[in-house]
Amino acid sequence: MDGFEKAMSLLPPRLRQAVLPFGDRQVEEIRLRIDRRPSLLFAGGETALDTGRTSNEDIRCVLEKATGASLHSAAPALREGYISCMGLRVGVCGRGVIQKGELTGFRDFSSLALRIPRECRGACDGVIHQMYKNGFENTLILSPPGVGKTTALRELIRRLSDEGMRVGVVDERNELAAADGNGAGFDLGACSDVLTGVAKVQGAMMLLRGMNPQLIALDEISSPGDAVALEQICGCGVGLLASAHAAGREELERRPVYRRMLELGIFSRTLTIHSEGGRRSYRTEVLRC
Amino acid sequence: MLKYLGAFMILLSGLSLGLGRVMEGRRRIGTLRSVLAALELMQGELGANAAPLPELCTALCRRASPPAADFFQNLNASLDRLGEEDFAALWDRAAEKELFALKNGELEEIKALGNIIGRYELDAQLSALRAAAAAIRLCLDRALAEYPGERKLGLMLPTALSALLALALL
Repeated sequence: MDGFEKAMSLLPPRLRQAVLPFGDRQVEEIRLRIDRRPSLLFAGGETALDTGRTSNEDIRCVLEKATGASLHSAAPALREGYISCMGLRVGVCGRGVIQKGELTGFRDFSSLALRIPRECRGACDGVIHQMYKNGFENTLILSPPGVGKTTALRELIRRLSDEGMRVGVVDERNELAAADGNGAGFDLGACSDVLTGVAKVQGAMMLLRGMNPQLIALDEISSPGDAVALEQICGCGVGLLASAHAAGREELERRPVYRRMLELGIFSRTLTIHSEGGRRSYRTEVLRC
Repeated sequence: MLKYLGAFMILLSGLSLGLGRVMEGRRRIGTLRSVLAALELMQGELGANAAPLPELCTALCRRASPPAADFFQNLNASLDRLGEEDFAALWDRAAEKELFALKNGELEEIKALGNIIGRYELDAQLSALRAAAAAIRLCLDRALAEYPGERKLGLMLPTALSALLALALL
């Protein structure tokens, strides 16, 4: 099953019928908003489907299918605003349930965004040669949400791994490997070892201790805890490859979590992804000499 | 001779009617006991491991006693229909099929859980399970208290009536 088929399998039959004709196009997300028509997100923008409005039952049906009718077992991810299922990320909005001052879950879900992961072989071939002609350098992939950080990270991992580098991947949300439990998923290269469902800081240390990696890859560095993981790995003789939400270096420097990483010189290089009119371009920049 | 045979048949049918009612009562008590134990197991599994429902059903198939074990087996087998039908409908159908010995109000207690289990945060599910277990325990106590009387009445009334009818026919 590819990402689109996996996303389709989560939809109720009525919506599945409406989305099916778009299977051969590059759908990036399926978006369901209560009392609105479902829509598909393409690189060029969002298109509403010619079908009835999304009901409470539609949303509940997707959530039940995605969690195996066990919302409670997805609680840690839900607190971060998403559910991970078969390598798909389902973003959620609704009414948060706060207990003792902490978000414990959601009720009255109002929107879902089913992100469809894709494998784009050769997507950043042009920059890879330019980036690593003198050997691997710690690299941070930057782009706004939905532009293709995870796809680019997956492609870099696969290329470096196929070239013989032992890559330890901390795939906290199972989005890089997108394994569905039967071993199927995206190709992360011949020499990759994937740790799924483990927090970045813990996973990185586990890989360091147990798998003798030459490079550790992590998706979406966003919290102070993630930055701590990077600080701990940096200086252990292991390369780093990670991604972060930012349109460019300037934005990165504005956020304290990233500013500290830049000050510590954890990354030597950035790979920034831009999207204009549905076309993606890659630009690499050296951070320090 | 045929008259005696007819009277005997009437007596026998009255006795079997009475026995049937007694068995029904026993089956209901057995089901209530089994459901109560399963609800307690469920609280343990959910509270300790926050187990997802397919895992929970598998564990309860093994650890619960019938007919609650059959209920969870039925539910587990129907989980692949999620997406086509909502979970509450699958839960209701399994309850109606496997816990048929329960009286209406008792079955409704169990069916109501289908709208809560897996749908709300863990604390809400656990408190719904506790409330359902308390309600089922009350039903069980009541059923146990009523059972001796019901057994006597169930056995004696149809038997006596059929004996009277048989005598009248003779």
